[in-house]
Amino acid sequence: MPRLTVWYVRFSLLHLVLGATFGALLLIHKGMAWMPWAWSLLAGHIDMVLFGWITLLAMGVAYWILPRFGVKRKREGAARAALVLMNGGIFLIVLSPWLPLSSWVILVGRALEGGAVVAFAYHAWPRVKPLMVST
Amino acid sequence: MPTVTRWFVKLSLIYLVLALVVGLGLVMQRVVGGPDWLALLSPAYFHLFMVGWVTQLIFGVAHWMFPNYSKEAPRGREELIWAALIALNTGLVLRVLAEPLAVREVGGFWGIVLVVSATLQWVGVVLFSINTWPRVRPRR
Repeated sequence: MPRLTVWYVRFSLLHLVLGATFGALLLIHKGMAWMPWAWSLLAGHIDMVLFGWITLLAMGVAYWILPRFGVKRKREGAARAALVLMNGGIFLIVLSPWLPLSSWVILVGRALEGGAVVAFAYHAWPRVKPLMVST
Repeated sequence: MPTVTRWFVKLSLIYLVLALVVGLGLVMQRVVGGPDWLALLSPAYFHLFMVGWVTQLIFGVAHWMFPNYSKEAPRGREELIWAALIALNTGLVLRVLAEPLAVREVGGFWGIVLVVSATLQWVGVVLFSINTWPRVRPRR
């Protein structure tokens, strides 16, 4: 497993545990109404599960197993940038309920997540083709 | 394919079918009418899909395919992953049963069942992560 995939998958596991923690608090609040503030965790719960857990895991494994067409993976910087941008975007969206100008924080967070997927697509695109062209 | 992976994958397929049946019920309730409680299944629909199908399929395949932990214990501590399977599934089934019923009586019996469900699902996720974390490492 390449080192960058290790980072992707470990971040995805962290997001899974944090996202599940937020989700568990929300569900407990639904059952017992102990924590009215729990609803402010909803956006973070959804973002950490969809983008943090599922998307980072998929990107990390894709970086690992897509064909390389050479010794080294090309456009590696874009894949590194995608990891940083996605984590930055999720971080902002999780914190947005407690920050001033929260709508703007969400907008910046979404833009970072969008940048992450564009960067990852730029990395992965040339790796998605047949290994050999038959005549 | 390890036995526990077969359980994860087969259960994930069952949840996929269940999620789509619940999704169909939700649409039918809106379009042709039906009992009001059907609308309360909306969160159950999302979680049957995301936890029951997507997450559980990933758990099973990751446990099978990720790099080995060691020669003696290639997939880490098997008892942790079995406990994760049982906790996650028990928690999810309890959620689907209790969530529509807890709405009528927050803090009552079904509310307590929801707390148990939340705890079990969280425990399942944590146990899977504990077992998987050391297997996520660069090639030696």
